[in-house]
Amino acid sequence: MQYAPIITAILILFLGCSPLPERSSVSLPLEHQWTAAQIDLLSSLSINALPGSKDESNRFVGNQSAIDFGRKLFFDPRFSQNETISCSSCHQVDKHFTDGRATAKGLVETSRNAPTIVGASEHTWFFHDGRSDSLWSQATGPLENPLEHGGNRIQYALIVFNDNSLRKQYEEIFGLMPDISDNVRFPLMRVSVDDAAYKKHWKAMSLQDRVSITQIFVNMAKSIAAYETTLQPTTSRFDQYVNSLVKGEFDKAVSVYSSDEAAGLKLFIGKANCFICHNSPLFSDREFHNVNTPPRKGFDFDWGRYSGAQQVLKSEFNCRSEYNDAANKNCEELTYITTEKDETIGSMKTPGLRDVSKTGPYMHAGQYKTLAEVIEHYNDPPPLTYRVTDLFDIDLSKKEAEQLEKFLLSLDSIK
Amino acid sequence: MKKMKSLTFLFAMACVVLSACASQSKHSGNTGLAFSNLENAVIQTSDEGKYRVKLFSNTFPIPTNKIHSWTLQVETSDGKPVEDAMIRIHGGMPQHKHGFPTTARVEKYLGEGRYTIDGVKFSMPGSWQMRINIKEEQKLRRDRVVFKIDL
Repeated sequence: MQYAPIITAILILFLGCSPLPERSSVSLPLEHQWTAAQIDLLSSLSINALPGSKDESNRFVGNQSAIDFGRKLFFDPRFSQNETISCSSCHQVDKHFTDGRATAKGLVETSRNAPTIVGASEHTWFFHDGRSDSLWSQATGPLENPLEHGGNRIQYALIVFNDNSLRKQYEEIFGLMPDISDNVRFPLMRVSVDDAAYKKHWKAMSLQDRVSITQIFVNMAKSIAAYETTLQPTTSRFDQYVNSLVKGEFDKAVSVYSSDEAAGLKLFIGKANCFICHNSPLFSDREFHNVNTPPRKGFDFDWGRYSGAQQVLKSEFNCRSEYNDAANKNCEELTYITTEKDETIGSMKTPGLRDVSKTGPYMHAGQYKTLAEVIEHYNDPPPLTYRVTDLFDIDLSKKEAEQLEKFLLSLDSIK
Repeated sequence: MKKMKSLTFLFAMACVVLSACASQSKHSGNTGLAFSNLENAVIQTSDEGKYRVKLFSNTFPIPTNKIHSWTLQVETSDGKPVEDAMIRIHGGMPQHKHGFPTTARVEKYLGEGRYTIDGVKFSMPGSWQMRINIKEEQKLRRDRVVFKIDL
């Protein structure tokens, strides 16, 4: 008994250095049992952890007048060469802001799938190849892409200038529009920016006139981005499940999630290695990876980030542009961007997975119609199209593939 | 004597427990813990033994998908700080045969053989390598050191 204090001290030391006791889910079916570390990891995917990033390059994010103006522009087909294509042509509300097509169709069919806009504001890079580094900069792209809206910024500025309602809204946000009524200096040309006559005229314009038009164009894009920033994912059953686990409400957790869904989640963060790239509350690491997606039949090999990195460095609207509203133009993503071939060839941005059941067809050119086909791609990849990939050997059984798909479906927003 | 033996036994047990505690705290969680500050930084000798190099992340835990900086300390094999060396950073994930998602580089010399590596980014958890090429033009001396970073 004389050693009791020493023995007690040793016991205290043992207890003191033990890991924290795991939050107990051991009474639950095996699929629903999680360690404390796993619950922490699941919390990092919860919608509660969505940072709500503020784009400092666009001072109109959160400005209600800009949001309303941007919404109008987003749905207005006049902002295209033939006045039939709007942003909502490829980003349709009832299709979770996609178009349901394998590859998007503007004036003509493009070579890429239209990704959802919901949650887009949380990304660092935009387009599948990241050729824009802000949401507003992205919005300028399709408007002047000859394959998509196919018009030009003079045409768009004139539409706003000559529409009393739009002009009033614009001036409430950005101040008086410059006088662009002189149709010699500012001719209405419903042509793409590739048109020879348009290019000749643009080149001949004074610097001041070009700046006036471009400033209107940028303000329009920033308003569209302000509207798009309001489109955010909402709570899913996955979030309810994780929130219940975090609170230790295990009975509630089991009531909202099936064993197959929980098993699929275990595969997602474990054996299937999905979590490696599909992490964060968006289920995207916001980076670029080559996952050896074969070119769609009839399409050429897509160079992806290799060309996107070159383009964003040259973009007139990148982080270093005079139109960036940030007080401190840090631009470190551009400063340290890699253009190395092995890191970029065939790489595409990791898409988010929230509401993934509504955003098919999948991959950058809609190569797969169903989630089952996507899972099969990772489970049994096709021959390599480029020697560097981020694929893992995952070897899922049929049942495991089905469980993984069931988990993915649990990421749908609750109505 | 018997009492002395028992006390010695209990003392030995306590030491084992403390040692286990220390070991556990050192290796728990992110394996990059050893890089958390200069004092605890891993020291490695370059391939040809010309330099001893310390490396640690200025952000801890080491983040993924976020640009951050590291600090490097370079000294000669006999412990003298290496001033104004040309340092190039390469690396990546050998398992996937790809490099870093950014172009990390040394842009600041801090003195006393210390350099800041800016623009470091890891795009996914896993096993990374940071290869550091050190070159002293005037002394015609160069060598390379490779650090393994598990995230």
